[in-house]
Amino acid sequence: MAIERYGKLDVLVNNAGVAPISLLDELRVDDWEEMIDVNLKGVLYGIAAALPVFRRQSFGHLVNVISTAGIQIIPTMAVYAGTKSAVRTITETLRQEAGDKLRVTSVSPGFVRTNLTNSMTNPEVKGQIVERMGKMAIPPAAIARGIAFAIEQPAEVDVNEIVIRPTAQA
Amino acid sequence: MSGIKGKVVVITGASSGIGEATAVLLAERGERSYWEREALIALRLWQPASQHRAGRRPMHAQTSNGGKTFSIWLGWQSSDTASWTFSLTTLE
Repeated sequence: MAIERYGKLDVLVNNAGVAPISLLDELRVDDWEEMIDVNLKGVLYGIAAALPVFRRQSFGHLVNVISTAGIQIIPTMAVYAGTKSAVRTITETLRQEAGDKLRVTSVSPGFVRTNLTNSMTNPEVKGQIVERMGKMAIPPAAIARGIAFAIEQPAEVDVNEIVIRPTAQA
Repeated sequence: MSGIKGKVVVITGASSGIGEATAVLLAERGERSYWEREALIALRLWQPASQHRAGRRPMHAQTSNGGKTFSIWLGWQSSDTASWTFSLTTLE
């Protein structure tokens, strides 16, 4: 659609994500599927849509927004972190396969003030995350600046990985 | 091409949070960023094929031309838990 309308695609930012996190014991299978559908398959569909376009153009930039949950493993985040770890692996593989024309960037935010907690289905877990967010979360613009930094580099410069946490986040 | 100006960017999940902030920042810097609000307008123009899973209504937009069509998750609306998908058509 972007191609039809604008004739090209320079960057795809795979940013959409959900986080209905919980302990594995709760067996919230629907939530697991939701996270895999949006966080993992959504990114793959994005790659499937954009990669042929980028190849044809001989330019393009794929930016995947992951999460520090893909780096730091903590209870309740098994499936969420699993999807993020998977996206990290896929992103790095794509970077190596991309060749000398396409750029691939992963951006991993820590606690950011967003409505991601709206997607959390376990009230207790949600309460804990909301409380931590209230204490330390940084504004979404902090991550946006990181994404813009990667995009605005000259074509031969590929910013591979960016991790942005609140200063107060351990 | 370096810099921001003139680039076409598709951002999924741009109705709020990081996606929205990125769209706004890029737009401020001269970006022609193509983001969810615009996509949602386009979605409403098309006939969505509704599917039901766990009470949700995933929406799949299809374009009418003959190119390959893929769906991209854009995020979802927490108010009525509707999921939105957005098709990026690649012209053969």
